Amino acid sequence: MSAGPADPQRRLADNPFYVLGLRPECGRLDVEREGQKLLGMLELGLKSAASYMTPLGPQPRSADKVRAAMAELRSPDRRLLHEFWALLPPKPEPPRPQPPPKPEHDLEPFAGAFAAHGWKRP
Amino acid sequence: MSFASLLGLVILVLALAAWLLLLWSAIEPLLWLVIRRIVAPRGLVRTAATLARLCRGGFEHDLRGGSALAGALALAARGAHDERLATWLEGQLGKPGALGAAGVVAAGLIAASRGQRDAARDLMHNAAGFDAERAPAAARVVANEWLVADAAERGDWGTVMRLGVRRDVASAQTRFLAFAAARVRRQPLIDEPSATDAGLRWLWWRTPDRGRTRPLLLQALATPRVMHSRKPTPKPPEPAPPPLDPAEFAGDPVAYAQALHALWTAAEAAWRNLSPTHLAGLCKAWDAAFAGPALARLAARVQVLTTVTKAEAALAQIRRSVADDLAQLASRAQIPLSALTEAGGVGAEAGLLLRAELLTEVEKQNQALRLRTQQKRKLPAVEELREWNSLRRAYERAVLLGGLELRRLMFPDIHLHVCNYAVWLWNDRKEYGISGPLFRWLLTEAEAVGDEEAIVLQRKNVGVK
Amino acid sequence: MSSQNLVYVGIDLGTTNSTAAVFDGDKVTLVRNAQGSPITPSVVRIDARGNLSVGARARRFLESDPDNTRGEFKRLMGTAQALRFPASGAEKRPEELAAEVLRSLRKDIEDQLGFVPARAVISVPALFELPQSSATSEAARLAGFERVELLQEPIASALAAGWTIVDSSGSWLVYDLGGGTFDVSLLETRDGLLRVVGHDGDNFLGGRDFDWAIVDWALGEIERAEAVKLSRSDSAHAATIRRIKLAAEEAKIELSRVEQTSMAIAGLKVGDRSFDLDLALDRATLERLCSPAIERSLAVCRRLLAAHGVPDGGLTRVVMVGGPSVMPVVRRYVSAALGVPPTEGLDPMTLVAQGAAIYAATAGLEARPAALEPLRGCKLWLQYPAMSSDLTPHVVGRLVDRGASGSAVATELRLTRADGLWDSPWISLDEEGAFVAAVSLLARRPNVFRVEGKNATGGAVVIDPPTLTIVQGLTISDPPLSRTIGVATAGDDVRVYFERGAPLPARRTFTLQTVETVAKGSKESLIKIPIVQGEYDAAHLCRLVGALEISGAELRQTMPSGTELELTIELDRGGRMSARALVPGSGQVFEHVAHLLVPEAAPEVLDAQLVAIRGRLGELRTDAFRRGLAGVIDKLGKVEAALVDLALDVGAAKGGDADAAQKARRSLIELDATLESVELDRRWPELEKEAREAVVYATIVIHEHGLAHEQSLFAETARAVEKARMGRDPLELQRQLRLLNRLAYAAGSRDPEVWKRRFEHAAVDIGNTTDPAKAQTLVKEGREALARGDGEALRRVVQKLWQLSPGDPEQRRLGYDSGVR
Ligand SMILES: Nc1ncnc2c1ncn2[C@@H]1O[C@H](COP(=O)(O)OP(=O)(O)OP(=O)(O)O)[C@@H](O)[C@H]1O
Ligand SMILES: [Mg+2]
Repeated sequence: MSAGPADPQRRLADNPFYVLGLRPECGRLDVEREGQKLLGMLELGLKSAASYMTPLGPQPRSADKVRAAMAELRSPDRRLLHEFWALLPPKPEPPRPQPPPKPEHDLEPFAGAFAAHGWKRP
Repeated sequence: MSFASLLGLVILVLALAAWLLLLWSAIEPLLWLVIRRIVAPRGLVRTAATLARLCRGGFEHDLRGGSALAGALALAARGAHDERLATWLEGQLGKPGALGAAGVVAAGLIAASRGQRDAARDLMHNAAGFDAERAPAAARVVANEWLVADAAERGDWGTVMRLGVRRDVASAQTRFLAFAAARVRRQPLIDEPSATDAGLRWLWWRTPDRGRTRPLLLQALATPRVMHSRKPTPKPPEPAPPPLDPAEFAGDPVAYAQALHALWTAAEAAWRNLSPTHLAGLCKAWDAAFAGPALARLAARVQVLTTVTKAEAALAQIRRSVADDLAQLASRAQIPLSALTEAGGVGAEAGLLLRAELLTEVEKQNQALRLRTQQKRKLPAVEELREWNSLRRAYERAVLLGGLELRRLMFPDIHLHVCNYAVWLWNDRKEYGISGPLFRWLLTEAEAVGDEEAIVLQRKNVGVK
Repeated sequence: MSSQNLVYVGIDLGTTNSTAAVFDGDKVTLVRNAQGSPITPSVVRIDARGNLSVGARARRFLESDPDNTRGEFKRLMGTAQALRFPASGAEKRPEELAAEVLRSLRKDIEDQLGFVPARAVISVPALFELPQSSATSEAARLAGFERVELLQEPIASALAAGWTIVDSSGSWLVYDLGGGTFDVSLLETRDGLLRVVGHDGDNFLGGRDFDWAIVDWALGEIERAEAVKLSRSDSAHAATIRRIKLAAEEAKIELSRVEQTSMAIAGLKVGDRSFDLDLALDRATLERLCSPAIERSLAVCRRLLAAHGVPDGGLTRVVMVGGPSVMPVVRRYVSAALGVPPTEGLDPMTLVAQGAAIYAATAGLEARPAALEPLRGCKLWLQYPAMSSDLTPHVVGRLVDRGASGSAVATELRLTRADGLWDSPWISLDEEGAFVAAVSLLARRPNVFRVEGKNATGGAVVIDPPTLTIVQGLTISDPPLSRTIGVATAGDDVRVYFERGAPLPARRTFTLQTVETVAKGSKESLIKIPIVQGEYDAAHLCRLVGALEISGAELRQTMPSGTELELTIELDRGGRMSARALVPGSGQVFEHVAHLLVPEAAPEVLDAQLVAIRGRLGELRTDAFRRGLAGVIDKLGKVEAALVDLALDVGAAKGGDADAAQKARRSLIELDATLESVELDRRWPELEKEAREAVVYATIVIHEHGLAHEQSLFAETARAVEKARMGRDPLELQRQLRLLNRLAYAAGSRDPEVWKRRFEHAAVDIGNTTDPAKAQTLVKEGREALARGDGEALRRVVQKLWQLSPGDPEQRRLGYDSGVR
């Protein structure tokens, strides 16, 4: 049994509670009710269901993710672990756009370096 | 016909032949230039390859490799990758006979043409490691040019400055890039004075594609020349606003640890800025969370959910996934294993995981090599090089992160199997070009770990007394 | 659509008997066959004229014409074993026979409902693997079903029980003892939701075991009374024994109703003797004969409860399913062992089919083919659960034609329950033309809602569809996967794709790396990606269910080792698998998965494996006794006991019993796993001993011949060895030992005496070298060098000798020859 995805990047982003837009205190029926609703909305392609909020910003939602989230939360043992990782409140506002990382050198990469040799690729 | 006239004819013919031979040896060195400058840039793969067969002087030990190299240069010059031609070239390379550096560079160019840039880079480095007699200058020059171009395109100017002026292999192009970079970055080149404006212009003038290198020249000329090395004053990096602020959760150790964790693991490419201090801070935050609050929280929920899992067991699982994440994080950010081990607590657990992962990777590949050597399952020479590269990369990565401790630990097994492998390549397969550098590598490693027995053996193999 | 129109079909395709049921959202009705019975024996007969009969009519011939009458083919599902009908010369695969049974049930449903059902749910045993599941789907397709979903039998039983029982919350055990398989599942219901907690079972335990126990008893009685010895392994007695077995089964079933019965068969023949059988059998005798098998089933139950931490008395309910669970003795044993009486009022023979029908509603699998009615009014696209445990589920909808405007287009909607006691407020459609509404349901029945619409000016708009129906009741949402699926790697590990219990359909992609170079165009080089199913960590212990092969011949470019492959595995709701591998480097995609069948268990192979396992057991036992490893001896004792049964099965397999062959194959895998764990237990002390000896030896040589830095490194390594030993970490211990040995070797090599010893050691072993002739010469050279006192030459000889040693015999990976990691 694993506590969510092995990829640390997805551990928060794919947490079932965030996917379903629920908090860890919610009841079992809430999981089914929300999941069912979201599946319906996604099937109809409604915009309001297309993304969900996490503490790190919005993520795209898909029917696969919703079904997996419901299955995960049905088992109390797994739910216990997911609850732990859903402690942080999802961010209310969309995140500020991140500035691109500053280049380390004051000389930009030379995009034409290969071409300058007459090598078209890579 | 009289004897004299016959003799005269013979002398005439001989003289003519000698004159032709002289003429040929005068123009033969030019032939490579013709191929590089005229034939290859037009993408004429087969023509270049055929012409290169005449370059006896340049590639006398490795005509096949030289021909493939010429072809590969032409392949690289084509607008789109042509798999048919690439395969044809590979076929030329795959013919029996030992592989030389020219062949390796050709394989590198083919790989690059297919978009396998990492593999190409490895192969170019391999070519640089070949013994001089198996590595014609022309091939080494191309390899170096490729490596420099590759570094320049990635913005790795340090490498450009180092390789660009390397003796024997530097070309006009690489020298220009190195000098221009040194000027702009206000850094000195090894054993080279900084270039004057006129010097820079001259170097630029000799680059094959002045149009493309011109902006770099202008940028370099715009930077004042510095005589002495002076480090650029590092500008304080502007802190990007974090997508999430752990300080908000300072009151709750569990939430704080999670927020910090999320910041480093989940935020896009945040690990690039991770320092050992940061990592230690993260480990400390988790240790504080695990010291009590996390268990209390879980225990409360176990009651509500009535799980089969006990709170302690759940905590252990969480702890394990945190350790997994920390190990992955350290591995990505290339933070030494010791930083994790010294952090203690969950950090030390992560250290053990990472250590095992590094060692296992090397052991797996080493075993595969051992098996193949033992069963004498041959691969095409270029593939042999690639397999070795991949093992070496895993090993060097383990050394980079694990330091001398892992180096010592891995070496006995590596030495045993790599040495057998190199011997197989040398004795049975006559691939001197590949196995020579293997012995040299083993010697360097043996010296680094102080394995006296291996040092003696490898000295003998390398031929150094 | 109104509730009267809803029809959901469920089918229990059993080993012995099959049943069909229909559910209308309110109640479940069993489908009766032409004989008026809800139970159709899973028996197919093809007579000499090629006429095919199914069910009770076929079953009658099981005794008189067994060769042309086939039952129990469910156990062969997913194997390539074709069954022959000699009289007609026909040959049928197991799924074709299953399809005949399904076709007959489908006809019965048609007779009852008046239309041909196009969709249905079919139940399968919880432990069915992919090849078996896909064979079942295939059977349904052959029988003419348009779409089917598979549901695990215990879930079906629990759903049916939950539908009947009002207060269904708590932990349940479903005890399903069938003709030849035993399944037990632990389920839990809370808030109207059913969840599978876990299952266990024995694929080779069932009513048949009772029958055989009675037969064995009867044979003993016959021997006493008639002095005739009948043997089950003698094929000359097979016909007689078959008759006795059928009589035994009849008597067993009879004893479920009455206290005492008799087994009477006239004119039994053995050789040239003929006699009448008449034996009295009572419940007490039956209990004595059956209790070992019942105990075995109870042990499985206890194991399951323990695995999931259910305390004694923690069960709320036990549901008993399957023919043998009708037997009073079985019910008594179960309720005594589990502390709860079996739930009454449920029909053990048809519960599975009922549950399958209810599940069809949950899955929205209406049996009737969709009618193409002309649509009128304002068209709405609706999403809602066909069946819901929630009393206030959501209905989501959207206008099909969003751009349209005018008086025929609704801007507001309202839902009204048909009983008129609940309606929603008027809901305005949002800018996407969509709405989300919560509706209120009445418990445990179909709820019909009318959909009403208003346009912008408040005028009524006709909505299409005008109504929707939601059934309230116990549900389970997605069918869970029965066994973990993953990819076997070259290191004999399993890269898990889907864990047991994962909801279907499912899709997952992982990046794998090749371990060997595959040269383009080379037909010999091939990468195999084996897909396995099972709960073991070691790949070779899991069942191989499919393989993706990438051969050099189809490659567009050579794939160096370490090439990344993105392997995607996809499972649909029916458990059918597909896989594709993408090579991102070249963009090439490989999709043809070799779908494997359950491996046939050839008797000769089984026999060889049996011999091998006996040999291994013997070795391990001798070794364990010598070293006095009590724990190991214990484990081996169990293996030995199991070998007795195994030998019987292998014997039966040789006599042509395909079922016994499958059973033997399974047991072999399990015994193999046990022996493996024994070897692990054993290896540690060995390694520890090696470590101790290595440290002692190294201390001496390094002390004498080691350089300064070697001395300090040795001290460090010795500490690390100790640490690994304390931490019982075999891998780490081996690493440190290598380093230690290397140090000792280097130091030792400075001592000429050591080389002499090494030479003597190598010289003894020349028989085992790869080239004994060359070794012989080398030894001679060595002796000369020794005589000359030429240390350097001796050293060279020893090294050459070492090169000739064969190295450890390679276990080329057990992991099904996997080419990825
Ligand atoms: N009334 C009864 N009393 C005792 N045993 C019975 C009774 N009725 C049937 N059986 C036995 O039950 C067995 C068949 O059970 P069942 O029909 O449940 O199996 P199945 O569903 O076909 O098998 P499976 O579930 O393994 O696919 C046979 O061994 C039969 O002898
Ligand atoms: Mg059954």
